[in-house]
Amino acid sequence: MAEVQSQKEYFPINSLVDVVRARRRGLEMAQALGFPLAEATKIAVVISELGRNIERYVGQGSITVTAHSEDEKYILIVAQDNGAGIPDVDRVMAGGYSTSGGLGLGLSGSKRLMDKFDINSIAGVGTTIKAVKWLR
Amino acid sequence: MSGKIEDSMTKARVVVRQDTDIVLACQKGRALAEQVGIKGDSQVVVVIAISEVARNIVNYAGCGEIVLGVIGQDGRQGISIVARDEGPGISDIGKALQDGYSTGGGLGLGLAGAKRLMDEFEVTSEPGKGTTITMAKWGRNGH
Repeated sequence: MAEVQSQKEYFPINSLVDVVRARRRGLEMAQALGFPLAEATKIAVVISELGRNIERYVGQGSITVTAHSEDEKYILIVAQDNGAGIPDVDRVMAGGYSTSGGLGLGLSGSKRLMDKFDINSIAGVGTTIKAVKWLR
Repeated sequence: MSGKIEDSMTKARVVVRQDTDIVLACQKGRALAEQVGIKGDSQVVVVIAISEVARNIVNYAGCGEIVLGVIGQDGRQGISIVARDEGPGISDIGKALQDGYSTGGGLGLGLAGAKRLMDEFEVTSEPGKGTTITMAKWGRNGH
């Protein structure tokens, strides 16, 4: 496969339409990087989940998807908002993932789909979530 | 392939009418996946797929059921999921399986996403009569 350059795309999230756009583009980027369709779909699910959380709980924020292709290949998802923050990250992550209200996997479900999943949340300042999946 | 699913042992049946039923189907599916040795991200995948087909029942058919079963072959086990409704049916299955066709509810992945994540996936639908979606995921030792 021809060497692809690293690619970074920024998606403002203000509505579900924005979430769908980010998710679809993320799927394309992951596939272009070489992820098989099922693995790329897991990445798309996580983008969807993080985007929906922003849309639902904060109203606006952003998702940045990076397809890193130099030396090692991976997808990095950064979800950012300036909302109230997650009051108890440990509890949220310890909780079994579910589809509370019929929506979403929760953050712990999303974490299981990725190789690396870091949450930085500050009350009153906002939340930044960084998730990485390496191409093997 | 579908023969094995037809031979599955039914373990749970959830009537799906509303959001709480979707949650219940997902919880039962997750527990059954754990029992047959589906763990980690594959277990999440099973939950996602159940969530998508159950969401479709609530949104488009109003009522239906999810039947969860255990399948086995050559010493490995898996989970079978049958989602059945008597709703309006899917007029264009090909279109329904395109990514991005479904944007309402669920995780927004629609049937296309569920198909990509599962090992086996089949839709039969007749307009006016209903839809049956049959899916399966095998435990890890089979791969």
